[in-house]
Amino acid sequence: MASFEHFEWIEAYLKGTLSDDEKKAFEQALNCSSDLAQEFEMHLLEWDAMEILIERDLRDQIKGWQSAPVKSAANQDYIDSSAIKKEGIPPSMELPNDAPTDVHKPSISPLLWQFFAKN
Amino acid sequence: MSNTDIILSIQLGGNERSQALHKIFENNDLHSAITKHVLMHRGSEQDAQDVFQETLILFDRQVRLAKFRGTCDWKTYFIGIAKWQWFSILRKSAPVHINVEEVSRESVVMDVESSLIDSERREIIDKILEQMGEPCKDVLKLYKLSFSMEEIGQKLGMTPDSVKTRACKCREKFRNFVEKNPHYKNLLNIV
Repeated sequence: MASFEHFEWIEAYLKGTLSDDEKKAFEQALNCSSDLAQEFEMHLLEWDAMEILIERDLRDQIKGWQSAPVKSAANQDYIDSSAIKKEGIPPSMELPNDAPTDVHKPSISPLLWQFFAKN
Repeated sequence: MSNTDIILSIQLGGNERSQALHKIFENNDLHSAITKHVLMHRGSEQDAQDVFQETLILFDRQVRLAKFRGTCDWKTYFIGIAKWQWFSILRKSAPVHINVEEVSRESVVMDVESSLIDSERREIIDKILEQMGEPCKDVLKLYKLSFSMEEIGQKLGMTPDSVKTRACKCREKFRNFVEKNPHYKNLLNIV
């Protein structure tokens, strides 16, 4: 089989677009053909490399989101997290009086404040 | 967001994917559930944030690779990955008394473990990627994110035809590098 056909077949297998029967046929062929097996291993390596690139990209995006203003669940508007540090915790994020005392520490995140405030 | 919205947006790639992932990142219910779980199991607030980030990365991959098919609610699946993540971290650091069934019952364990790239393989791939120029990395990444040749061309200021040629050459370059380094082939178990 030509390499291009291998390429298409492997892509379909990895993308999960083959039917159950087609999947079985592919796996059987993989056990019988060393050419296909080699092509498959190389393809898998490329896929993993591309996954790593996508992962790096997503990590960068997450960093951007983390440094962006924090959205408050209580009033659905944006709060500048640096303002929380300067001016203290806004009333909507304050702990209730009966909140567990062992979590009452200054480093707690706004999200956690919200969690305890809600529960 | 429904299961269908999540799956379609992430699998479509591009801006739809980014927006969907951003919404998940801002989901307070998910943050709360994961924080609660991590704090209840000897973790800190920082651990919870780290687990959330790693979970988002894995969730994105599971959806793109069609391993999440929407048979349960996507939030349940997401929290299942997070619990598995935290359990794996705890297991590495010390013996844990977490109910293993509680984690495996989420039916994500096998799914997620099968799509992980182990650290040794990752290290070799990083070395191979160092040999590739930034334009190659950009083309391969966008190609894998299901962008069309036209869209990749628009983003990188190239014609669709030259994107196609570049993608082929980059894959060739990648393969040639592996072929020329039998040491890597052996480590990667490529015959």
